[in-house]
Amino acid sequence: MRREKHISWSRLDNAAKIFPSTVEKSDTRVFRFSCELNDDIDPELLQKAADRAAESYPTFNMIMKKGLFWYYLENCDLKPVVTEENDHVCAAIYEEDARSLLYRITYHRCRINLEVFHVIADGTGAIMFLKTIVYRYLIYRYSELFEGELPVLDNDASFSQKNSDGFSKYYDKSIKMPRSKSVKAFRLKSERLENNRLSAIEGFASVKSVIGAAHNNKTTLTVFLTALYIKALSMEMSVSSRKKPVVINIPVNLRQFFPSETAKNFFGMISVKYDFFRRDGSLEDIISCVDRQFKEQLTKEKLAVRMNSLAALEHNPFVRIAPLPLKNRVLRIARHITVKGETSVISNVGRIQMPEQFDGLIKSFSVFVSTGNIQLNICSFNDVLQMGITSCYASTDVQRNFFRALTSQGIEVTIRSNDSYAEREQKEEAEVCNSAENAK
Amino acid sequence: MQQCRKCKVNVDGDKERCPLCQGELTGSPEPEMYPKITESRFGSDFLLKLIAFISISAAAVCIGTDYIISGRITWSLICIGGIICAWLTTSVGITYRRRILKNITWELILITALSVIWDRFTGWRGWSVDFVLPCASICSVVSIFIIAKVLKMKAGEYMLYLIFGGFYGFLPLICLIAGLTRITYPSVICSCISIIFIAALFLFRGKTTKEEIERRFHL
Repeated sequence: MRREKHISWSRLDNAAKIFPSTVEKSDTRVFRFSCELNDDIDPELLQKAADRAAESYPTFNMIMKKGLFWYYLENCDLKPVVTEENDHVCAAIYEEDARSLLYRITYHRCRINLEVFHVIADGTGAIMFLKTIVYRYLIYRYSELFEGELPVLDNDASFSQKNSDGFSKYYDKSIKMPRSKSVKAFRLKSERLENNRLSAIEGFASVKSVIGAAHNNKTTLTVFLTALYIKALSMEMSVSSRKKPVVINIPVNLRQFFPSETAKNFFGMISVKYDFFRRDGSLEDIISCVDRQFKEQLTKEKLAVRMNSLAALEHNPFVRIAPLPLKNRVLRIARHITVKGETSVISNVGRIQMPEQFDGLIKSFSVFVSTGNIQLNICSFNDVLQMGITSCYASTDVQRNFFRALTSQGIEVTIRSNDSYAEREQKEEAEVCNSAENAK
Repeated sequence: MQQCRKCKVNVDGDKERCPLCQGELTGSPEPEMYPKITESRFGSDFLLKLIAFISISAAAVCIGTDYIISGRITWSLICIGGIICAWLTTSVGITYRRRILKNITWELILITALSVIWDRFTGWRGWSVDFVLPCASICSVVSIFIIAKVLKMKAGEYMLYLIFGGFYGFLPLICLIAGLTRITYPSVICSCISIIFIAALFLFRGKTTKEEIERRFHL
């Protein structure tokens, strides 16, 4: 008689629990990290690199299943299949009952994309994974450059460290969240893109020039960009909506405050408010207001309170015993209520570091996060600052305001977007037809 | 690189207009960094809508013809019952077309339930409990087992459905004990097969079965 095989599985971590229930339209809960190299991608080597990288990240080799009460993750022996990019940015990944991985690796010309369903990892976990893929790929691709000595990647976490759950490690029952009154925030109202598509517009600028501009305004890069973004949003406010504050939620990597090497979700949220009705709305005032709120909220104690309030949900006995379909409904309603208090999200991944030996081979890194609204995503690599704005709206007014604000500060910006114009496509088709006729 | 003079930005790729302000661009285009996505012509729910449309049209035609011929509604009620059943079963079949085991399980529940309802409203002759329930149970549990083996599925993929199918096969036994069954041999065969399957599951795949139940029911 054959021995029975043990299938290992795990619960969703605390932050991930809400994600599967709240996948909606353009908000697929998928985020994308890309790495642009100088040369075109070799698919075979990328596949080899992906296979090797997947071996060292067991937390990514999971499929999600439905239980009676909760979703859960089950280990599987599926291998990632590298394909050419042929879908929208942050297209949905999880398909009910499908036995498929919760991330995808694609390439387009000289760019490698890693798209991850937020259930298995947060930005920090995913970037570690992408860095490993790129590292492997570059070593295979340019083996002659690294014959003497292999570069060293800056992460050495063990399997169990990557698999640990940061939330339950730091959960403290005694900390209670003080009840706060929820405010209705200003929300953009605009026509959505058809077929729940996501518009992804990114701007590249030099880190030095943006820091320079930030220093001219006597502040730091993050505060400066946040203030510019708030200003860009405010320009789309109608007179009546000015009464509502602009509320920006910002995910914070908790690993900086609570030591953990986990590759799973481990982030908290802080929120920055600015009231255009009561304040003057000048850039200086927004900067000082944002700066104060950052300093207030980015403390270990404040973040611990937030973290515990999240964890309280899964420890609530009523939520626990509700069957999954009911739970999905409740969580979706809860999400709709919280979204009302949020104007937008800024997700700053920060500096992405790769070994120095790769400097001439990598051009830039990019980040995009799916949203049912509009969201600013920031990351940097060496001197390249990427600011990606994902949006489900057809209008690009906020993006225009934001990037024009940057150029008006004397910063050179290069824009790239995923839209394609219908007229151009038709023209191409006409040209193809013409040339076919000419050939006859 | 292309430029937008109004936004004072460089624009990467091959664009007709500025992605920010939709204004004119100057400069020479470069190769596009995003692929052109071709979207399928039909939405994912097109087939379901088509089935619903056909059902509604068929029902309307039935009632209309019936009314014209006899001046009131007679046989068309039975037709509509049939149409509803056909619509339900095909819709479930289409919804789960890519997950064959889940499909079988849902069809089993649906078909047995529908036949009990038919039987009840057509004078309770007992055919649903005598034949449909036990035969459908046998067919589904045996086919789940064979499909799982032929497709070389992993235990995690088929376990839940086999467990469910096995226990569903006890329903004819319950009917038998409750005295609802008149012709008994299909129910007896079904009960035997279910007992054999459940016994095999717990004896040879006990740990896997237990773990599967633990996973699916964890709080």
